[in-house]
Amino acid sequence: MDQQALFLTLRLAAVTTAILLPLALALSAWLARSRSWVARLFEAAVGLPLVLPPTVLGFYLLVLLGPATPPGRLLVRMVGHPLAFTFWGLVIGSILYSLPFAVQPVLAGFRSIDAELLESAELLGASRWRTLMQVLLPGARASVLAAAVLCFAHTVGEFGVVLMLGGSIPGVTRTLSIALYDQVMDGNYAAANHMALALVAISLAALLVVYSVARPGARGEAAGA
Amino acid sequence: MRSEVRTPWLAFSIHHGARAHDEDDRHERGLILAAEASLRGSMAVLVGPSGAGKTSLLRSIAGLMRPERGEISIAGTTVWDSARGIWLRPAARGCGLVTQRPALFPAMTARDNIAFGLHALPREERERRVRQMAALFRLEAVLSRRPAQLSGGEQQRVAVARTLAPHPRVVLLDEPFAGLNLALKDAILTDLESWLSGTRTPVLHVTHDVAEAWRLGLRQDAEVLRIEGGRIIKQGPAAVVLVEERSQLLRALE
Repeated sequence: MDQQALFLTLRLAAVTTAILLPLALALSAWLARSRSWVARLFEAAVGLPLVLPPTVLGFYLLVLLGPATPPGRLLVRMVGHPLAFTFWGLVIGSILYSLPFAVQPVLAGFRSIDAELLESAELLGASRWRTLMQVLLPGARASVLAAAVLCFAHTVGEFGVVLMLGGSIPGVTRTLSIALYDQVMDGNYAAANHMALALVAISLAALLVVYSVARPGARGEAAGA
Repeated sequence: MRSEVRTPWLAFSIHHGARAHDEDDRHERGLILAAEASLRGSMAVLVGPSGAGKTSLLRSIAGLMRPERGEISIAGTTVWDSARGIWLRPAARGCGLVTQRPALFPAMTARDNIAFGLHALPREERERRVRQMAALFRLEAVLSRRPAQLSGGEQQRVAVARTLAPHPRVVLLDEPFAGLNLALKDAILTDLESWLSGTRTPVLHVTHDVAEAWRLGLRQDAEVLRIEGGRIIKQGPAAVVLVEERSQLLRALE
């Protein structure tokens, strides 16, 4: 079992989730509230990673993060080196790749909150921040937890983006799914099997958590009346 | 008459057509409002059948809905004027609105619900207001409970306390006690009215129930507005506005 790949994968998933979750909360709070066409466009764009081949995402990120484009050059100048084929390049890729898995449950949770609660908060003078922290978040706890777990699990299982953007540098960008691929290419089916089992176990555990928090009755989001 | 020279505490001219400008508010679709009135008496009762536009009128005044054109002023301050492009957000209008459903924040205790609108006040003042509201609505014993642990009547009392605690300039009541039994309703109303008259806060009471409009409209300084099809068709003392309904009620009793 490639311990290095396992820890790298878990670290990537944890960092991605930690950055993505606050981002998803802010984005969902805006999407749930706004009626503008810009918001609708954003909402649709958030779902793109669900339908695009991960290699498309990986390809554009490879180009954007590299020195071939102006934003890439700016980034290279800011960071001092290209982000492609680095851990943080993978983090950026994973954030985009897992975006729908974080935003969609949170958005659904926010939208399920009684509109009258939000109106009460507005009438009582609550700021957007306070409404998010004291009304939206407590009302969508189960959805936020589900989003965090899905986002973590989805990042653990990503392959195409990592392959395009990270290559397979041990300890830097060689995640479990990449290591598994390498083992199979080398004919080491036993080692590949261990990694595949680890991925199945992580994913199953994640889905168990998601389904148990999303079970009706187990949710902490009863309406006010 | 003395009341004629006072500045109206609420004046509105609200026009909203059936044209689909209201895609965003599904339940307000197809709504027509052409309502104008000035309120000077300390209490007003808006009575009309369901679907007459009572709730939409109240939501427009509170700032939860933006009609197509018109203007609204509260205690002499223009809070909305479509021609001049003035729009004050709900919190800046100073309206306290209580609706039929208590809509309490489920994750907060009754105490935190009541204190929700007191965020900007210093801590002692906040606590003083919560104590005052709890005493007024007899909620001292349940302050640490969450909404799910409260009875329907207690929930509605917390909702009223939460609305009054920030001392709104005007209070709008959208049939908030419709689901409660008569004795409970009267008890809350009495507590509420003692506070309103003590603080001289004017109130607009909405009801579809003519008998209730009659009862409320008999209070001193009360005026009754009759709304039908989005228009205010009559305004005045209960004895004038509700004269037909009164004779109907009396005939039914014979």
